[in-house]
Amino acid sequence: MAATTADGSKVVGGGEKSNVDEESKMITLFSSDGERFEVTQEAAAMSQTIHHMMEDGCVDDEGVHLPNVGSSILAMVIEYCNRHVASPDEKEDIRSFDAGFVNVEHHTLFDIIRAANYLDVKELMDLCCQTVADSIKSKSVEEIRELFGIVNDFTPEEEAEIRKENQWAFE
Amino acid sequence: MPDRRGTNLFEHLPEEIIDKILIQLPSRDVGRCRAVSAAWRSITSTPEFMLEHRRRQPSLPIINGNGRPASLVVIRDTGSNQKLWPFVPGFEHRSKSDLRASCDGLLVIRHLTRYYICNPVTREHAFLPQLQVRQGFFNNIIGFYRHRPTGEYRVLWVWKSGDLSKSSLHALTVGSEEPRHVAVTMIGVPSPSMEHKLLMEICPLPSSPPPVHHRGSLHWFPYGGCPILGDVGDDIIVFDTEAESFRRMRGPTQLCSNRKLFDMKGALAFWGTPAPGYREIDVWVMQDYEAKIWDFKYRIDPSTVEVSRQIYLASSKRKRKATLDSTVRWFSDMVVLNERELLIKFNNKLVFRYDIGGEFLGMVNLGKRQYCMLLTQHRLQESIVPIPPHWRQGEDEEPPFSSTGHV
Repeated sequence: MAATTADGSKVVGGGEKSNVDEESKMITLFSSDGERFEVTQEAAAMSQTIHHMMEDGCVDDEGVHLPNVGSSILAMVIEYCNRHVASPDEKEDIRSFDAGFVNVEHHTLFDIIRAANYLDVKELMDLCCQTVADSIKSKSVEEIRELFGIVNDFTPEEEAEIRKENQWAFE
Repeated sequence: MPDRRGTNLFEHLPEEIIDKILIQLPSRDVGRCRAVSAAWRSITSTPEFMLEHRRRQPSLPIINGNGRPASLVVIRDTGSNQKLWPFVPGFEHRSKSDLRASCDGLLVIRHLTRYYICNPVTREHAFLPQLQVRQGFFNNIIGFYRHRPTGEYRVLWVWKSGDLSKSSLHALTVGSEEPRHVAVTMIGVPSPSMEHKLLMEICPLPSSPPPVHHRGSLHWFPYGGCPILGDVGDDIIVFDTEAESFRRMRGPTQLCSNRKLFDMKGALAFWGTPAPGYREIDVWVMQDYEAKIWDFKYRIDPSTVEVSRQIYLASSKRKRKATLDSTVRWFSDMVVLNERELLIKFNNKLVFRYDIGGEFLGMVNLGKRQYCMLLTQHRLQESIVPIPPHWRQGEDEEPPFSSTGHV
């Protein structure tokens, strides 16, 4: 992947310095807080949202504004896309990258989920949702509520009824 | 400290995303999630959610330890085997109940003289009064399936007179009052007396393996049965559950005696010896159902399995309590565990986990000692879909299965 030297804008990913290649044109993304990110079109196309915009010719020279995604999260999503586009076949490497990638605080993980949903990056969504599911497994109801800050909106009678209906899950 | 501590992370998350997360949970976790909040309860209780959840569950083999120590056990590839509800462990209980059929997470079980449909995950059950065991004749359940056009679940069974001179085929739509007689129709079978012979061919024994359910048809391969038309080639008996007619189908011609039809993750497969006297077992899979083309899949050689086992045991760092009691001599039976792993039975006793690449992965033992286990060929795909209320007619006075465990 070629990285063009741009004037002061962030170039995320790639790292190889080579001549500008027709096939790895760059696209500029703007986060909600105005930070600028240069990404290859290939990596950007992992986002179906951006991919459709590129196909429909909605991307002008300025770039794509993403008012729903903050800079720190966008940087992470771009890192994910760059990595997956770079070596899609090296399964072991990708697996350990993914494991490290999702090893973040829950708040961040959910922000990534929201961003991946808005940007429609299927693989990232799947990875993050799987991670959240894994953190739910084998936990008690109280632990789950505590972990995610969920308020119990059942009356004691309602909750008792539900536990009784699903008794098989509580043994 | 981040000032968002304590906020509900799931708040404002679109329902489709919560759905996407919860649907990946195992059955018991889904049940527990229903008590977390009203939103989680409603998301996990829709028919669409529960059906999709079931669809994602792996189909796992069930083996029968005959009560020593456990009876029916579900084997998981994670290594944690699980006793199947409602079967009670213990040798003295082994003949009280019997697994007769399974489909979509539902089991048809005989308990003493009665038949029930059970969901081993949710522990729900429904009595089937129409199938009661009575003196003087036999009921052999030969199929349990979902009839695709109507979505009904149906039980198919052969009624046999005590002297085995008469038989007839019956079907029951679960939830309806009366079973109905099914006339046996098969192209090329002109006379009604052939009906009896065909039915006897399908289920010579009460313990005959279940059919392989594929593309809306049930497939039996009468193990050791004699083909009624004398043509050794077309040996698989097929029942189209929609047309309710029978036909025959050819198995792979490259296998000779000692072969068996089994379910390879939804496809028809055969294991068998490639030539008389050979100790290897070849596995063939139906590649193209329309064109009836079988394809060679892999070969299992007991001697290489034994070598692999020796290597595994020699290099295993795990503490081994049991000593190697016998070498692998002859192949007895097999079932598929997942895409890469098989459970293979050798010497009519030892059950191994084996990777199709040729690696021995370990023994399957239900208890501390090696007892005979039966690979039942039944499979469980966990389901949290509730049993429809109208199935529970003819309730018996005292439900025999307590939901907290066993009978």
